[in-house]
Amino acid sequence: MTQLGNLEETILLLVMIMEDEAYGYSVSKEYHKQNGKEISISAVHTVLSRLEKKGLIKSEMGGAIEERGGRRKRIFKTTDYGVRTIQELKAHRTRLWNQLPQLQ
Amino acid sequence: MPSVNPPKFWQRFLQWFCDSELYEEISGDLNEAFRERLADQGKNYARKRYRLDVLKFFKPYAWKKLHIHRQHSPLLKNYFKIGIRNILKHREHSFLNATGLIIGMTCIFLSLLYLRNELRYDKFHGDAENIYRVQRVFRSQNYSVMPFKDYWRTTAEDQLNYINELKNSPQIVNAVQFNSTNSPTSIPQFYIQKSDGERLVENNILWTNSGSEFFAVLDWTFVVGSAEQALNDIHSIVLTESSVVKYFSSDWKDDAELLNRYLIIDSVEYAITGVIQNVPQYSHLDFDLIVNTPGIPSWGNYTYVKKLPGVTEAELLAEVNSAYLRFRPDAKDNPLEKGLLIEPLASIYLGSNALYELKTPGDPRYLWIFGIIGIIILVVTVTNYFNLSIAFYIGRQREIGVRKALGAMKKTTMTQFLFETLMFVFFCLPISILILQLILPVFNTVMELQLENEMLSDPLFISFAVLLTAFIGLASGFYPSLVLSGKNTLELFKSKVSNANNGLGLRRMLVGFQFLLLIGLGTATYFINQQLNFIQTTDLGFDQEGVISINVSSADSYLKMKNALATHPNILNMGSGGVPGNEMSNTLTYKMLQASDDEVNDDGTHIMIDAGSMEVLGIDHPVLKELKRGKASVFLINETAAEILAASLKTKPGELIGEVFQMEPEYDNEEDGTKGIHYTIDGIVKDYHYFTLKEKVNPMFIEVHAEPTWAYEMLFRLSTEDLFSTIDAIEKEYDEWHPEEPIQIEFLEQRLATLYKNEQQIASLTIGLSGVAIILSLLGLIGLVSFITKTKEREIGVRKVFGANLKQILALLNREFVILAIFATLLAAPLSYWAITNWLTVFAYRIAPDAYVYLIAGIICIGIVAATVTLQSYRAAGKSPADSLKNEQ
Repeated sequence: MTQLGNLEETILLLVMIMEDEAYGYSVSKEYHKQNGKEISISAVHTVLSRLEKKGLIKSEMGGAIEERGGRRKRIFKTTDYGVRTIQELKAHRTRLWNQLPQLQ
Repeated sequence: MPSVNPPKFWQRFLQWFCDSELYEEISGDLNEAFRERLADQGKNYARKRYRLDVLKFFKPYAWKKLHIHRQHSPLLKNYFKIGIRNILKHREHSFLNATGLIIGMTCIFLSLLYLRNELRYDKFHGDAENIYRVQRVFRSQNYSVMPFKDYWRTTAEDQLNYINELKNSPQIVNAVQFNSTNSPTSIPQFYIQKSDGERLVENNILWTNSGSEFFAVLDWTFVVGSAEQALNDIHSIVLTESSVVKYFSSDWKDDAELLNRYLIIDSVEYAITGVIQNVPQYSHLDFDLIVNTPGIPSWGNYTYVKKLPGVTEAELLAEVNSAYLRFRPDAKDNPLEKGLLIEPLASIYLGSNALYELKTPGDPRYLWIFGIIGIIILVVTVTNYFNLSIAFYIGRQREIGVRKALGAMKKTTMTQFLFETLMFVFFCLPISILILQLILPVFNTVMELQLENEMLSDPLFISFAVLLTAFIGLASGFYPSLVLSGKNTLELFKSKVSNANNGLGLRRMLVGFQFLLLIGLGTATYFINQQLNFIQTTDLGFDQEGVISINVSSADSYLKMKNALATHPNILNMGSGGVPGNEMSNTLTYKMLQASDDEVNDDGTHIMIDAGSMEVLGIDHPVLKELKRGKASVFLINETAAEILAASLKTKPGELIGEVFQMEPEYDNEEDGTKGIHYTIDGIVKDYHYFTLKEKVNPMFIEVHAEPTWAYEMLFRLSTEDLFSTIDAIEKEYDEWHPEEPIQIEFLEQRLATLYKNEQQIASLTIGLSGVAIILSLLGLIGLVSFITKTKEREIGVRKVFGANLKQILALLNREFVILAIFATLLAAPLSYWAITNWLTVFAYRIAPDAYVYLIAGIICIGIVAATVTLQSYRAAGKSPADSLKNEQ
C-alpha cells in the first residue's frame, strides 16, 4: 500500500468528492472552499500527476468550454485501487484514534 | 464577451517552456481562473494572479521533455532483433567487416599505448620540469658524462668538487651525481656477497656519492624506509623490489630486521637502508640497486641539477658553466673544451644525442612513423567499414521501403540504422580490447617493453576508445542512414542504387585509396626488409665468425692467460684491444706535421690494438711482419685518413708512408716545446667498419703493438669444434687470474647485432603493422569487389542475352578496377619512395631502392583484384541469363 502525504490524501479525497468534475482548477477552488486556505493551481497539478503515477487516480481529456479558450480539461477520477487505498487509510487512522478515548 | 485577455507575454512564455502534452490542460485552467477572477475582482487582479500562476508553473514537472524514449522504446527492441538477424543473414559479410574492424581497432589501441609510453619517460619524477642534466661539449661531441678532476685517480673528496660548486649556486636547489654499471664509462659487473657468504654477480648497479640527497633530485617510490633517511650511511644500499628478493628472500616484507642487514661489495659492508619500487620501464635509468659509496668507481659521472622554479634556462646554463670554471679553471684556456649544456629531464630519452647514454635513446622519428601508421590503419579501418556497410545497406532498400510504407518517419529509420551500426561496432570493441590483452605480452617481449593494457585501467584511454568506436559507427552509419532514409518510398522499391553514379563515385575514391595504401605500404615493407638484410650481410672488413671477447683486468693478466691457453687446440688466435662493434665515440684531432695549423681535423679515431687481435680479426698488412721481427709497434692509418692527410699536403696517399703526423696537436709538450704526440705512418690499410653502418667510415689511426702495455679486453678466434668446452677452458683460466671480477663473454656477432637492435625492433614493428594495414586493405578490397560484382549480376545477364561472351564480360568488369590500380600505383610510388629514402638516411651504408619494385607491386595489386573480380563474376557470368534476370533484386 503506497504512502500518502497529507496534501495527497486531501486532494485524493477531493477528487472522490467532486466525482466527474475534478480537474486542476476546480480542485484548487474546492480546496479553497473546504479548507479556507488557498492553493496554487500548479501545486494541485503536481499532486494530481503524482497520484496518477501512483495509480490512485486516472484521467481523461474532455469538456472544452469557451472560458478556457476552447482548451479541454483533464478530468480525474479515482481508480479502484485508489478507493481501496483511501479506505485502508481511514481504517488505519480510526484504529489509532480509537485508542485515545479522551479525544473522542 | 469581454475582450480582456490574459497578459500576452506570459501566455507565450508558458507556451514556450511548457511540455506540449500538458500545455492544453494547464493553459486551459489558467484561462478559466483568469475569467473568473476578471468577473470577481477586475482586470488588474486577474492579470496579476495570471502572471503569478504562470511563474509557479515554471517547475520541472511542466517543462518540455524529450519524448524520444516514449516514441521509440518499443522500436528499439525491434531494431535490435532486426539488426542481429541481418548480421546473421549475411554471415561472411558481417564476419569480414567485424574482422577488419577488430584488427583495426586493436592496432590503433596498440599504437596509442606505445606512443604514450614513449612520451611519458621520466615525467614521473616530482618537479621534473626543474630537473636538468649537465652535458659537456668536448672537441666536437656532446658527452653526457662529466669527468672527475683526475679521472680514475680522483680522491673521494675531490669527486664531489663540481657538485659542491653547483650546490653553492643560488639558482640551484640541489645537485647529484652518479654512475652505473650500464654505462660504457664504468666497470660492468661486480660481485656482491650476501651475509651468508654466497657471492652473486650483479650488473645493474647505480653508484652514487650524493647520499640521501640523491632522492631530493630524482625521487622514487619507497616501499620500506623513506627518502630522508635512505643512503644516510656512507656505505649504504637501497634495493628495488626485485633485487631484495634476489639478495634476501621472497618474504622480505615480513622481515622486521631488513634495515639492519647488509651486503658486502669488495670486502666493505653496505647497510640496507630502504627498498623502492622497481624502476619503471619508462625511465632513462635502469638499476636494481642504488649503492652509496664515497668513491664512485669510474672516471666520471652523470650530473643532474634541480633549479629553483623562478630561474630561467638561460640563467641555469650560465650558472652551470661558471660553476664548472670555478672547479676547473684550466678549462677556459683549453680549446677543446667547448662549454657545458643543460637538457631537461623529460627530453633526455627522446632528444639526447650525447655519447655514453645509459639507455639507448628513443628516436622521435620512429614515433612519427608509429603515429602515421596508426592513422593510416584508422583511415583504412573506417574506410573499409564504411564501404562494406554502404554496400550492405543498399541491399536493404526494400526493407526500408516497407518500413516507410508502414509509417516510419525519416527520423526513425535514421535512428534504426545508427542504432544498428553502433550496436555492431560496440560489439566489436570489447573483443578488440580482449585481443589487445592477449597480444600485449608478445609485443612486450619483441620490443622489450612493459606496456600495460591501459585500455582497461586509464579513464582517458577508455573514453578515447568509446569515442573512437562511436565515431566509426556514426561516420559509417551516417551516410547510408541519411541518404537512404531520405529517399522517396517508391524510389526505394524501384531503383538499384548500385548503378547510380553518385554512390560509385565516392566508393571509387575509397577503393582507389586502398590501392594506394596497399602499394605504398607493401613497397615500404619490402625495402625495409632489404635494408636490414643488407646490414646483416655486408662485409664489415674483418672476420666475425667464431670471434669472442672477454674482459681482462690488465696487460699482465692478459699475457698470463695468453701463455696458458696458447697450446689449446681450438683457440686459433688471441689478441687484445681494437674490438670493433661500438657506438661512435671519442674523436681525435690530428694533422700532418708538415701541414699548416689550419689543416687540423677532429674526426679521427685512435685504435690501440696488438698484433694478435689483428690476426683474430683477419686484418692484414705486410708491415705487421716487422712486429714479429722485434719492432715494438707500427702505426697504420686507414684509406679515409690517408686521403685526408694526403690532401692537406697536396700529395698522394702513397707518399705518406714514412711521414710524421701529430695527434692532438693542440697539446703542449712542456719538456721539449713540441705540440701533440708524433707518430710515423708505417702503412695504409683498407677501410673497415669499426663502428656501425650508420656512420661513414671515419679516419682511423691504428697503433699496433707487438705486446700491449695495457689491456681491457681480450679477443679469441675459436674453431667451431667443441665450442663450449673451449669456452669453459677460457673461463677456468680467467678465474685463476681474476678472483674478484666476474667474467663477461661476448660473441662478436652478437655484439654487432646489438648495435642495430633499435633499428631491428622498429623495423619488425613497422613490418608487422604494415602487414596488418595491408591485410585490412586487402580484406576491404576483396569484400567491396565481390559485393559490387554480385550486384552486377543482372547487368551480366543482360549482356549475355545480347551476345557477349565470357571473356568480354570479364574484361568489362576488370577494366574499372585496373584503371584505378594504375592510378594508385602512379600516386603511391613517389610517396613511398620519398618516405623510404628518408628513413634510409639513418644509415651511411644503404641500399638504393629500385624503381621496378613499384611496377611489380602495382602488377601484384592488379593481379589480386583481377583474381577476385574474375572469381566472383565467373559465377555470375556462368549463370544462365534467365536465372540472373529472375531476381528482381
